[in-house]
Amino acid sequence: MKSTNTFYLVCLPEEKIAPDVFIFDIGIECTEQIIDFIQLIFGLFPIMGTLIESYEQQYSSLTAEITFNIGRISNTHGAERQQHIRQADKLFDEATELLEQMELEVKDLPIKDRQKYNTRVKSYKAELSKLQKDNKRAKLGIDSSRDELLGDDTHDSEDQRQRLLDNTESLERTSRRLDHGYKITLETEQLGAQIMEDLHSQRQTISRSRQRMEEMDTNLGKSSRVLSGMMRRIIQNRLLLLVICAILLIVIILAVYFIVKKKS
Amino acid sequence: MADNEAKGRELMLEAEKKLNSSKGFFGSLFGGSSTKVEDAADIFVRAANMFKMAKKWAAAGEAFCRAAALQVQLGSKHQAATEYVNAGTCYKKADPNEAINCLLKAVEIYTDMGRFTIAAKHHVSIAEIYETDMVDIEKAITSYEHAADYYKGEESNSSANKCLVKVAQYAAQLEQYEKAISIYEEVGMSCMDNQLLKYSAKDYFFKAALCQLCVDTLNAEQAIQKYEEMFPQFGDARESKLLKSLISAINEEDIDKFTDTVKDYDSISRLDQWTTTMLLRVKKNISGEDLR
Repeated sequence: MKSTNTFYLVCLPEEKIAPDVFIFDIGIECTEQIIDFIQLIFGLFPIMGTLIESYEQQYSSLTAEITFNIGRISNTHGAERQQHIRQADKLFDEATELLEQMELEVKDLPIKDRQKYNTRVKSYKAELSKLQKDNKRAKLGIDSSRDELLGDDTHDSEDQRQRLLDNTESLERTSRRLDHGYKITLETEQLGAQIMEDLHSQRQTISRSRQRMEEMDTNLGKSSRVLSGMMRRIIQNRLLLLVICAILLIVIILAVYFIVKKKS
Repeated sequence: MADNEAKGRELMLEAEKKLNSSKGFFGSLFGGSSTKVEDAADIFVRAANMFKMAKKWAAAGEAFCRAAALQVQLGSKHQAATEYVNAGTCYKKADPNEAINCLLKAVEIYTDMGRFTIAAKHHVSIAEIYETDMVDIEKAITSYEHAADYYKGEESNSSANKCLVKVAQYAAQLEQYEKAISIYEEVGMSCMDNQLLKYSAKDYFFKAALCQLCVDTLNAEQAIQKYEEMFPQFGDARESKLLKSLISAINEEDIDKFTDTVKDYDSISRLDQWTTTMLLRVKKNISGEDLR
């Protein structure tokens, strides 16, 4: 059965600045030989160039080894697998260190080359992260086609230990939240009881005010009646006064009339 | 502002003059005296307002007092009482004693007239002054008691309950536990039946039981039994669980258990000042028994 493994084959271009990297699909049987071949090539043709070029070469060899190991991981079991896993991890660390050094070197270069090397470093980084993902997938023994269907995030913590830790943490979080919620409900209950008391006293105040208002209403009615009674009396008195004045006048006039009549 | 103060002083002098002049023979003869006194009282009130604007509280209070005295002379009690109350508010910021005097005079007038509700309200203000400015808890308790009696007389039970609860609180602080217990029980029972208030009832029972604890553990146990019978919701509440564990801790004379239970309760719902004081006393009781 032919296993499909991506493998990096290195070719030397004409410019002799840095080797370009091509991706080939190749059978597993040939991988070891090809790695030896590549190392041989690099040994036979030491590219006398800048430090960065040597870094790039090293990077390429590292990635090749990593891919080889990843391929091995998915196909072996038990102790061999563990060994390959360890190897791959070690290589990863080396590759990351290398990339960091490359970055530092790029900073020191003259400006016109910097752009080109920057893009190269970026592409190397992207490759490395892809390899890391492949590594993880291989470690967890996941079929790559299922993975592609469902997307990358479903396998975040399927490692047993990681899962347990995550569970504990989420449990703790939940219990903390529940506690907090409980506290808040208790406070709310207290607040509610207080509000109810206030409502009760306000209710009594309102009913008292209504009572007083009704009393006031009757009192006002009474007082208005009293006032109108007073008005009537005043009018009566005035009328009486007028009547008496009128009578007095008439009597005086009559008296004067009779006296004048007697005299005459 | 000095401006207002100066105006105030002017008005005071004017009012004094008016008063003095009205004592003359012709004033009283022509029946102008009462209007003169009324005018004087009016001017005193204006002067007092000026002082209030200038923030000279003592002078304002004095002016209000004089106006009130004149009103009493005139026989208009309502006005007099309101002026006394105004005087009291002004003095509150300057001289608490004077404030209390004025408020007491006002309360007298109101009780004379038969307006007990408002008299009770002023008793509450007096008690508050005792509470805060002068920290004389005994007198505060008496004032609150007066207020509660008047409120009860006027059937405003919720205000009465509020005053009584304060009385009980201070009584417990002064270690008059019997009084506090009886008040809390009474208030708790009256709250039980009312839809609106039953959620506060369990709080009152808790406080009553806490006071019982300060006195004697056996009493406390019986009391809790009684309350639970009367009011089943009390049994479910966290407070009754706290009390039960406290009692068992006391019976075992285990201070650490006591502290742990209290800390537990506190972590969920904070204990207020009064409760902490009472619990501290109970704790000291335990350690007191231990030392013996």
